[in-house]
Amino acid sequence: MAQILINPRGVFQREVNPIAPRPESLDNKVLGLVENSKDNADIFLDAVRQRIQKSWNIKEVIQISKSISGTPAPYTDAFFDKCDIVVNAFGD
Amino acid sequence: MATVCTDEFFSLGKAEAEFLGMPGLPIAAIPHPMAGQPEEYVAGAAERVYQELLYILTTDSESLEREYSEKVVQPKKKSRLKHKAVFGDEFSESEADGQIRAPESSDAVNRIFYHRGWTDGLPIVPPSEKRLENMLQKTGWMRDELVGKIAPKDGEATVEKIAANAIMAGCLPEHLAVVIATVRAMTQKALNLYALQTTTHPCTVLVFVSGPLSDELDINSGYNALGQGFLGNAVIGRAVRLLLINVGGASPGVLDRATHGSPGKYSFCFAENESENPWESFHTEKGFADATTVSVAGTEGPHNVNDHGGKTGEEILTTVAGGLATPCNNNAYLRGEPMVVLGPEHAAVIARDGFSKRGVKEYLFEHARVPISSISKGNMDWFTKNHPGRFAGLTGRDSVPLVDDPDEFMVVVAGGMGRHSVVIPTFGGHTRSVTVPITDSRGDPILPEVE
Repeated sequence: MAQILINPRGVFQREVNPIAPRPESLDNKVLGLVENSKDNADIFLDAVRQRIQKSWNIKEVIQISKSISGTPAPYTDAFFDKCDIVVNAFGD
Repeated sequence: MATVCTDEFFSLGKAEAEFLGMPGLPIAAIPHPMAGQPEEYVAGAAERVYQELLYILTTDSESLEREYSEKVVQPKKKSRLKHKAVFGDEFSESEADGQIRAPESSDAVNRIFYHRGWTDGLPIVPPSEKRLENMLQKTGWMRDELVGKIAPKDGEATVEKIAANAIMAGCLPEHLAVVIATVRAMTQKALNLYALQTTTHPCTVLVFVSGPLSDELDINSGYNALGQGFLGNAVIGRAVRLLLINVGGASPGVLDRATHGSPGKYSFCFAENESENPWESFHTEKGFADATTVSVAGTEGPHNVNDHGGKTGEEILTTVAGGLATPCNNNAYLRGEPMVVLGPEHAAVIARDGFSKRGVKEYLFEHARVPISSISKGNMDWFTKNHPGRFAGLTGRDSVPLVDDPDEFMVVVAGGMGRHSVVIPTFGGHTRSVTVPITDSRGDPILPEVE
């Protein structure tokens, strides 16, 4: 004999969002760096920045940071309007 | 965008990407941990991942999505993320269905639910359609009513889903209104449930009930109030945790990244001992004099304050302040709303000596301060970098408060007789407590039955 149970799992509504298109080259692009305040995130991203700038002619670097890791990143429209590429440090 | 995280947290990043509707979001993994490593090591990790970052930043986005939607990263340090395969999955009903056909045996149902990660590890009451109909018929709630969306996956907490998880927890129909009120409170932005659910911190959602209904609902406020033994404390708190797992989608080691967690993640629910409270009740303080309220807060587990020798209110509060002001809790650098649960004996002495509740808060504001000398150099550097307004320029002779304003301390009375109180640090200032009245299906505050 069977019984009917209610599925306790939530319904998760999703919109599919494509990832952003990529440039063919990083030359003359504005690089955004996003760190989450966790230890060494700033050092890691700075090393990434240096490595990218060694090989590419980056026009500008804009860095933003979360002062508290447990909050959303402080993205703004201005940040996304200006940046062509972004590297963000996530997690611990 | 190129996202980088350590391999241990890859599954969290992947789950969040899927939740954002981007299962193919490219994520580059580096070895865990980065925290605490010397600068040369961190720079070396950046050099080694550079080629992958370049690939992510310059490759055609459709190709990237196809490739990275399949990518799985196994951290070197193995940890048990999946439920132990003690039990096989005995039936293959689709998890997407609102209803499931299941064997009649509750043993079989428990095996299946545990295997699927739908429980807290303890046996559950099968959420049958029959039990749901009984619960809704007795309480008048409409099953399709949407109460809120539970982070991190923003799962829709309809009355049906809330009731199903409440039944699993062992709730009676009388408890449903409290669980619904708790969902209403914890889905408010101020609590920052997304952060509570996904952090490495051991925080849980504390459920604190204040008002006359707590006796009717068997929510203990006296001896062992924070412990086991009373139905209301056990099942309401448990229902909340099951909702956080099943509707919020936070499973241990995947989206729930708590390093240790705490026993409070099984259930953390208790009531105010109004009969022993010498001051105004918490629900009155919050502006709900004529209602029973539920308050939620993101907290650690409780820490005892043992003061058997203090003869005055000030002496007892000195010990309370000492219990609060430790360098290892989040309030030490993130401020917030730490909770103080005064035992009745301590509360009586404090009130006898002329302290109002506000006076208690002011005393704690002045005296519950973390000495800078107790903070490690590494932590001090980290605090100063991220919160210069609070830490820059301070030396070992200085100390810092736990709150920005005395009113941020939550001061309540609960427990039985004995010279003990409890302090409960919170997750920090980026989570704020929320208090709502317990209402019926019409939205009216539920009042105790008149004898």
